[in-house]
Amino acid sequence: MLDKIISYIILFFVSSLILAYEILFIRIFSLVQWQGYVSLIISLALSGFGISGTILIFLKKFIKNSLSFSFLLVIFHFVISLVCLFIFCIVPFNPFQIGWSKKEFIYLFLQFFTLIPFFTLGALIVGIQFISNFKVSEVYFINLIGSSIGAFLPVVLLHFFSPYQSLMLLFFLYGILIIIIGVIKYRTFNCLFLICLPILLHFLITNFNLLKISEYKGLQYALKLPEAKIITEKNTPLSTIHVIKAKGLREVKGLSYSFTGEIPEQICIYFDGDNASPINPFNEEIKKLEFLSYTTQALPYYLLEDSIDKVLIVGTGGGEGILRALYFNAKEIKGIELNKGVIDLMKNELSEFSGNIYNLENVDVKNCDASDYIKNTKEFFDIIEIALLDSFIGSGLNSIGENYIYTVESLFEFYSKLTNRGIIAITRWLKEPAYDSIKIFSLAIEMAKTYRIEDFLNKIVFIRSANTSTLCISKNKINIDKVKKFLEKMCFEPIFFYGIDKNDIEKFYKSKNSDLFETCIKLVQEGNYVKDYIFDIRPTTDDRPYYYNFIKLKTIKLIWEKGAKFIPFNEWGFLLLVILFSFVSIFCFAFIILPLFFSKKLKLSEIKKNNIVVFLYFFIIAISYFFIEVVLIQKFSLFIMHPVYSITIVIVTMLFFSGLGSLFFEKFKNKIIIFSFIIFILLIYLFFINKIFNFLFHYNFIIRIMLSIILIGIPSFFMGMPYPSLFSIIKEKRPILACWAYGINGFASVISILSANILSIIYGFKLVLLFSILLYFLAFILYLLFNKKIT
Amino acid sequence: MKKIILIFFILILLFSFSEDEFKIKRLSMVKTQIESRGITDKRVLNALKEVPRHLFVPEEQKKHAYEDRPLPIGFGQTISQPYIVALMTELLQLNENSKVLEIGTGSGYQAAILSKIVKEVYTIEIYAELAEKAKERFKKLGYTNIFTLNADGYYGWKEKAPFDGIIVTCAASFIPPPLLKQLKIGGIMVIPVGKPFTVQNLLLVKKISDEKIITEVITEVIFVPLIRGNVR
Repeated sequence: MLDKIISYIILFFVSSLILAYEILFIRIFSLVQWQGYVSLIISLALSGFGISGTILIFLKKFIKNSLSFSFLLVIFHFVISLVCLFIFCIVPFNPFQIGWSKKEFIYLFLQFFTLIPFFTLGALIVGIQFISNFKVSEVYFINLIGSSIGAFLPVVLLHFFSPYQSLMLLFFLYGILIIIIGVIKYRTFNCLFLICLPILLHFLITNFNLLKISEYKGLQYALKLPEAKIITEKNTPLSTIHVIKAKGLREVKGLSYSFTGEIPEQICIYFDGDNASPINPFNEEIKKLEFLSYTTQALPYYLLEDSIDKVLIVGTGGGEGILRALYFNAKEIKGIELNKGVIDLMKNELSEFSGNIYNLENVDVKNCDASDYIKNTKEFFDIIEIALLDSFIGSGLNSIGENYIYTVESLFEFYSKLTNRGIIAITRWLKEPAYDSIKIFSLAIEMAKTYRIEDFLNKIVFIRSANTSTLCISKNKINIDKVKKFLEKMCFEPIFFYGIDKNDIEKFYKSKNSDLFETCIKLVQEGNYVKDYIFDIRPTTDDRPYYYNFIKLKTIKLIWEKGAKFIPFNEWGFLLLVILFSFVSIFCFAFIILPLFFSKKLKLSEIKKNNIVVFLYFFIIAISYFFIEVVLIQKFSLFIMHPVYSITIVIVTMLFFSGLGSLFFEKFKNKIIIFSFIIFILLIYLFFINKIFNFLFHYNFIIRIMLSIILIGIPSFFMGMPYPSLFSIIKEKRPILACWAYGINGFASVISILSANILSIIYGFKLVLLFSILLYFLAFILYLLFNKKIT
Repeated sequence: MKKIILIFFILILLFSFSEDEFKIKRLSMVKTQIESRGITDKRVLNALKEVPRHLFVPEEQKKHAYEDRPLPIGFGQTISQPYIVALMTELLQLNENSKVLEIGTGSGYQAAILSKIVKEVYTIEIYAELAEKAKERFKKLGYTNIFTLNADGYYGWKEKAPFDGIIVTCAASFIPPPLLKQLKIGGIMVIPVGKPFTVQNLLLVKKISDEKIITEVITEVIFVPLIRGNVR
C-alpha cells in the first residue's frame, strides 16, 4: 500500500511539474528571448514524450521493482534537469544572427537538446506507472489531475514571483519530495545534498546574470544608455514589466518631420523586455506635449475638430493615447488596459511622473480585454484609438499567435460603438515589405463588405509616416480637404482616400516601393486580389485570428529565391512552424518505427502483429484530443475574454475532467456510448457554440468562467475515456504493446499541437473541429477492430 | 646588440607585411563590396581606400575588418558593414567645403571616412567611453578635422550648426526635430528610420525650406542599436 501511495505521489508531482515547467519556461524565455521562438523549442522538446515510450520498450524487462526504478529515475531527472537548465542558460543563441552566422544553428540545436532530458525522463517516470501493476484508470486519473494542477499553478505563482523564481521554487519542492521519500521508504538521508542543487543554480543564475535578456530587446538597449536604471519591476501572468529611466530615452511612433518643438525625456515601460510604452512627463501643461499632435494617430482629432466628447483608447500602456486625447480637449476618456500591473504602476509608483493621468477625473481606465469591453459597453465614442499593441519584433516571431482585436467581427464591434460622427483610428508599424499595413486595410474592406456598410470608400482614409500607418474609419463621409491639409502640414503621405491618384502620393515620401498604394487600390477594385498577393493578407476572422501570419506558399517561394534575409527571421512564424512540423514528424516517426526493427531480437512480435491498429488508434485519439483543446482555447478565448485565464481554464478543466472520466470509463460496458457522446457533443459545438455564447455573453466574468467549466467539462469527461479503454486491454494482454502505445500517444501530442496550428492558420478552427470529430469516429472503428482481433 | 637590431627589423618587416596585407584587403573591399554595388563617388571610394578600417576595430576582430559585415567593437556597439558606410556617405553629396554632423560616433570609422572628404566633421556619441576612445583614435591617426562630443545626439550640436549634412548611424523611430533645425536649407540628412531589430528604411532627407522636407527611401537596411548597419 505504501509503495502504491508513494508511486502515485511521484506520478502526481512529476505530471504537474512537467506542465508547470513548460509554462514557466515559456514565460522565462519570453522575457529573455521571444515567445514564438521559445514555443517552437518547447514543441521540439515535447518530443521527449514519444522517445520515452520507445525507451520503455527496451527497459521494460529490466524493471523488476517499478517504485525503486522510478525513485532512481526521479533523482536522475532532478539532477539532469538542473544541469541542463544551466547549460541552456549559458548557450549564447542569438536568433538575429541566424541570417549570417551558421553557428547560431548549432546554438539553437544545443538549446533544444538541453530540454529533451527533462521531458523525456519526466514522461518516462509517468510511463513506468502506466505499465506497472496499478489500474490504468487510476494512473491516468492521477496523471491528468497532476497535469491540471501543473497548468494552474503558474498562474497563481506568477502573481507573487517571477517566472524564474517560481521554477526554482518548484525544483526546491521536488528536492524536498525526494528527501521525504528517501527517508520514509529507504530510510536514507543521502538525498539531503540534492536540496543544494537548486540553491546552487539560483546562486549561479542570479550572481552571474545567466538569464540575460536578449541584447536585441529594447530593454537592453535602454539599459545601456547613460544613467540608465530600472525604476521598478513587476511580474504578472501576462508579462514581466520593467520601467526604465535613462538619459536620451525617447520613443515616439509616427512623428511628423514638420515638428520642430521639444520631445521630453521619457520613462519607458517594457513588457517582457520589449514593446516599449513611453510615459511622458506631464504636469498639467499639456501644450508642452505638442508633439503628440504631430503623429499619424492625431488624424481623427483633426478631422473632428469640434469638441470631442468621448474617446476610447484601446491599450493605454504608458498613457500616450490619454495625453493625446487631453491635448485635443476630449471631455471624457475611457481606457482599456489588459495588464493590471501597468494600471497599478501608473496609479501608484509612476503617477507623479506621468501627471497622475490614470487618476484624473475625466479619465477611466478599465482592466479588461478590449473585445469583452466593446461587446458589453453601452457607451458610444467619438474616437476609438487602437494603439500599436505589439512590438515591431514581437508580432513577427509571435506570428503563430492569435489576436482577437484585428478580426472582421471585432472591428465591426468597434465600429458599431461609434457616435454618428465617430472615427476609429488603427495604427500599425509600417514594415518593409508593407504587408502588415496592407492587411489592416484588407480587414477594413472585408468588414465593410460583410456588414454591408454603405458608401464605405468615402468613410475610410489611410495615411503613413516614416514608420507607421494609420487607418481611419468614419461613420460619416470623410472630408478629404481636411485630410489633405493635415498631410501637407505634417509631411505625411496618403495611402488611400476616396479619389486618390498617383499625383497625390510621393509628395514628401518618395519610395521605390510603391506597392502599398497600388496594392490598396487593387484591394478596392479587384475582389480577388487578396489571393494573388504574394503575402497572406486575407482578412482575419474570429475563426482564423492569425493576424501576424503573412507567409503563404508564394512567399516561401520568394524567400527561397531571394534568400532568407528577404523576410527577417522575426517574421518567419508560420514558415518555422512548417519546418518544425516536418522535422518533428520525421524525428518522432523514426522513434516509433525503431522498435519494429528490433522486434525480433527483443521478442516484440506483438508490436509487429498489431502495429497498424494500435498505431492509428493511439495516434488518432491524441491528435483529436489536442485538436479539440486548441479549438476550445480559441472558442473560449472569445467567451471568457482574457488571454491568460481562458487558456488556463480550458487546459485545467479539460485535464481535470478527463482525469475524472478515466476513473469512470469501466462503468460504460458498451464503449459505443462513450464515442457517440463525444461526437454528439462536438457536433453541437461545431454548429451551435457561437449561438450558445451569444446567449450567455451578458453574464459577468465569474459566471462566464463557471459556465465555461461546465461546457468544457462535459465533453472532456468523456474524452478522458478512450485512452484507458484500449490501454487497459493492451496492458493486460500485450504488455510490450502498451509501452509502444504510450510512446505513440506522446508523439502524436506533439505533432497535433503543431498541425492544429498550421491547419487553423490556413483553414480556420471550424475545420480543425470537424476534422477531430471525424478522427473520433475513426478511433471508434479502430477500437472495435482491435477488440475483435484481440478476443 | 646585433640580435636586437635584427629582431627589430624583422618586426618592422612583419608589421609592414601585415599592413600591406590590410591594404590589399582594403582595396579588394572597395572593389568587390563597394564599387560593384554601384558606389561611384570618387571621393568616397578614395576615402575608403585610405582609411584603415582595421584600426577601428578591436584586436581580435582585425582579421575580419574588411569582410562584408558589421563587427562588434565592444560596449554593445558595432561598426557598420563597409557598404553601408559608403552608401550613407555618398548619399550626403558632400564636398571639401562641407560641414557634417554625425550622430553615433561608435568606432569613429564613419567619421574618419567623412573627414577625408569634408572640411569639418562634428560627431556626437552618447556613451562616454566610446566617445573617449574615438577621440584618442582620431588623435593618434591624425584626423585633426574631427571634433567629438559626448552628449545626447537628440539635441545635435547647436553651437556648430547649421550643417551641410547630417548622418545618423543607428536606428531611430523618429527624426529628432533639433537635427532638422540644424540642417541647412538644401542640406541632406541620412538616417535609418523604423524600429530597431528589424528592417528599416534608409531615408534620405532633404530640407527644401524651414517648412518643407522631402524624404526618399533609399533602401531597406537592418540597423539594430548593437549592429550599426547591414544591408538586407
